[in-house]
Amino acid sequence: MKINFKNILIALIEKEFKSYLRSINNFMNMIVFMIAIIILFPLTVGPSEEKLTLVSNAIVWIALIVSIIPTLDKIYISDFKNGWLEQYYYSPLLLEIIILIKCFVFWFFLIIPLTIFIPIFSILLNIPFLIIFWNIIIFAIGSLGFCLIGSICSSLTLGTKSNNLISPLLILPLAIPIFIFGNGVVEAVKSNYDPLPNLYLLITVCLILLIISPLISAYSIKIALTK
Amino acid sequence: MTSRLKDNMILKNISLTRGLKTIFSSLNIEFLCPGLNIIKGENGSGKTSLLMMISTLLQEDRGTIIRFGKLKKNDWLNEHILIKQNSSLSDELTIEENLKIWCGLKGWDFNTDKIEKSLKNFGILKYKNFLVSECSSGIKKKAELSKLNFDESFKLKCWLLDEPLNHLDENGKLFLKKIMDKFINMNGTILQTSHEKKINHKNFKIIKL
Repeated sequence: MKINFKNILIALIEKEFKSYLRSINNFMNMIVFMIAIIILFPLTVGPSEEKLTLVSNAIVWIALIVSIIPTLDKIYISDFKNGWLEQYYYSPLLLEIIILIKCFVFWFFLIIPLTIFIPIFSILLNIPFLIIFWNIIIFAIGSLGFCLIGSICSSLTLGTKSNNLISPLLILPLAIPIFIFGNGVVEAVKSNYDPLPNLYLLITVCLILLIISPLISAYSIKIALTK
Repeated sequence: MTSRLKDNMILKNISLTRGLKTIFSSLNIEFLCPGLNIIKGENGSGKTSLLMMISTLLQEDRGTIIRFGKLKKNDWLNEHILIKQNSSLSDELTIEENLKIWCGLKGWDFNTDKIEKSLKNFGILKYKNFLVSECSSGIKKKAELSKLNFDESFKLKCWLLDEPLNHLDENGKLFLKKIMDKFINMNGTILQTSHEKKINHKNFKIIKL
């Protein structure tokens, strides 16, 4: 029978897009969470402008990461519960490629729109424009790495009952290289050094994840399906 | 077509365990191909596990499964449909979107006319724009079974149906019988689990677990 791979791609992207569009409250949760952190932090640091300048960049990063993590472990859970992961397993397209597309769609529709809020929050925290520019680039690249790590952790905890507890514990240690190199870029810009070496390392980490994440995720999903 | 007639599906000396529970040990079955195979057994006797194992979702511990000669796993995945007892439709999508995306994922052509025709045959066309979460079990089941009513589905080798008659009304049962007969006439093989005593088909084999 003739199999049209273009149809598979269109169907997959359409499904993910519509699912995210109809569960828009997940996205709103992330934004509300981010706003809460950004507003609360300066209040707890105190009125000193110097102190705030010192930690402002960290605040934006922490707000972004903490708001993303709860959604990362939900990449597969709804598809697993309503049987769509099985349909992916039966699809003529390799499960690894389907997972990669799913991660990209998740990143593109749910995480990339968050970068729009970086300049807004950064202005609120009095972060210089040059740092805002670099923050957007780092976050756009680093968040893809987060999605791929989230894919691994989400698939590993599919069969477990308490996946809400395990996923953040798995995600954080794996995300450390992204934190280090991402922060390295900003520190280099602040101290007038070349930020590119750290940026390249960040891209390298993401590329490595791009290769290993679909393989591990597909393997874990197959185990969860056949359990 | 003649080579397809010669093909058969045989389970040889199959053992399957799930967790600590042994579901089958040394199971030997030769299925009627083409034809309707009705798998009967008590609750927990392993009917669903048998279908899942044939569909490769479960891995047998021992023994051999011959699926239509020696089909490769990927070819087999493209040559059968498994309709499970529980609905595998996404709650966030409408019935039409679910079927459209399902066809797309199989690599088949999807157009609205084809899906509407299938839904109309099952008498649920008016629910096509309803979210699955808003539909009753019967409508979900009919939407699920509409997957069998596409032209491409009749070109497959095998349908694996897990309790397809559950939640169905009389019209639904009649139409399902009609498409099952059509598939068998086109040299298809159906493996169906069922608790029904009365069987309305002509050419069938009962397998007791």
